[in-house]
Amino acid sequence: MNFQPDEEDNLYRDKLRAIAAEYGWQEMRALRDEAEELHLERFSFEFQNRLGREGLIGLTWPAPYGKGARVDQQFLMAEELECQGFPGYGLTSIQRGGGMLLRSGSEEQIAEHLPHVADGSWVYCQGLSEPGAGSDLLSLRTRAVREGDEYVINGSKLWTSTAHHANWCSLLVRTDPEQSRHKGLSLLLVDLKSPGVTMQPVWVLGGWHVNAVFYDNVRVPAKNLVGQENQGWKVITGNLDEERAMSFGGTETRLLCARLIHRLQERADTLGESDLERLGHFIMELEADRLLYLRVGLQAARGEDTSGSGPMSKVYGSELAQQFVEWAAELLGRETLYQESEDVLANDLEQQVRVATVLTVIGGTSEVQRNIVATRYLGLPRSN
Amino acid sequence: MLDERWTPEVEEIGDALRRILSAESSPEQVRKAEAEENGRDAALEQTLAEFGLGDLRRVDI
Ligand SMILES: Cc1cc2nc3c(=O)[nH]c(=O)nc-3n(C[C@H](O)[C@H](O)[C@H](O)COP(=O)(O)OP(=O)(O)OC[C@H]3O[C@@H](n4cnc5c(N)ncnc54)[C@H](O)[C@@H]3O)c2cc1C
Repeated sequence: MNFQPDEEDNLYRDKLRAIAAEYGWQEMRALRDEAEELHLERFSFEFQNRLGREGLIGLTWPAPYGKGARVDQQFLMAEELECQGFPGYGLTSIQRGGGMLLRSGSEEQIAEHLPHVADGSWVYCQGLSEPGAGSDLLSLRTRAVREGDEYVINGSKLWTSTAHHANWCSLLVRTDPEQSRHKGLSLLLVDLKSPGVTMQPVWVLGGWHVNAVFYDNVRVPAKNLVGQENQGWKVITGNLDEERAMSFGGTETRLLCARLIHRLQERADTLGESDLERLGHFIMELEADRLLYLRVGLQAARGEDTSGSGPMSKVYGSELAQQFVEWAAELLGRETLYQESEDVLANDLEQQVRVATVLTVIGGTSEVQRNIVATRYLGLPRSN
Repeated sequence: MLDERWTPEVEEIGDALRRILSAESSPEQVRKAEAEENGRDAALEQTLAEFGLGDLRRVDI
């Protein structure tokens, strides 16, 4: 057991720390504003490109695209990024696109896409959920039919994050209508500028928008099939594992908690025993969240199954984020939530009340994650 | 490198302790000890002391 990172473990964390120091508070806030202006979740193109130039995208990928870094080195870097308040979602979403290709893509796909992922110039989104196929993803109905060297896609996806600024969508479609559930699905890389792709914004509580994306006779070259035809589920489960290995709110909450403690120092004498008891409780829970989150990454690095521990970390972190921010807003005064104010911390807490709610749905709802913990982690039988 | 797992040495200690307790601290033995005035099981305490339970703090986890 070792929770004490050494100099080598901290190599990329320290690199990120040095970049962060260059930005300073105002510039870092400007990156967050960029996400808001673009209606994106925690995403800054400027910062993304900077990370690309510094070689910090896809750290664990083999050369020439990545640095062959260890997962714990990447974990510490990503943690630093969020702890410093930088937008982290962009990095994880494009890395997911690159990771998928390295796991399942053809040599040509890797050669075409990876350089653009690694330098931060191409953005990827994930088109899985549909109206009526969210938790029950396997009932999805978007179809792709092979016609010569192309697939023709018809259907619609809902909740596609980042699609309005993405170059590519990893689209899960049904290619064999005779088969059901996880059989007969395929994964296609779709250029979002293709004729027949249209989008509508769907605003979410957090303040950004996701998208309803419609595919109307969209033609995609057959070479954009990732993995084998009808084996798309195998491809996408890797993405889902990677998604659940993200920090869903816990790391951001640690930063908010630290900022709140600084604020409370000014008025420590007004705090009661129960406030201090709650604060102590959250500090412990945030520590537990960090260990759950770290465990998923380390297990994945060893090639172990994370299908039970990933959801455990996800549900714990997102619900903790929600509980913390509600308490913090209460402590600073309920009006924090309703008034426009110059107070940056109050505004961030108000935003986080909304964001944290979204985090319990995005990537799979808490109810569904709990079901997965029961079946995959505890090995309990499924109810029929 | 960060590692959230117990070392093999710690796992070994856990396994050995589990073996002792399942042999020498069965539910019947626990009930018997509870029925004693001081609630203690001198034989078990002796075995655990010989096992080196008191020295465990020094093990590198
Ligand atoms: C902000 C945001 C971004 C997202 N980004 C993406 C994206 O980029 N790409 C993408 O493909 N998807 C995305 N999603 C979709 C997300 O994965 C789904 O919203 C989620 O899986 C839930 O599906 P649903 O919305 O259809 O709700 P439903 O599945 O209809 O669920 C409705 C309610 O029923 C409960 N429920 C459903 N099934 C069960 C069950 N078996 N047991 C107990 N309770 C159950 C749920 O917990 C929930 O409370 C995003 C969602 C949000 C909110």
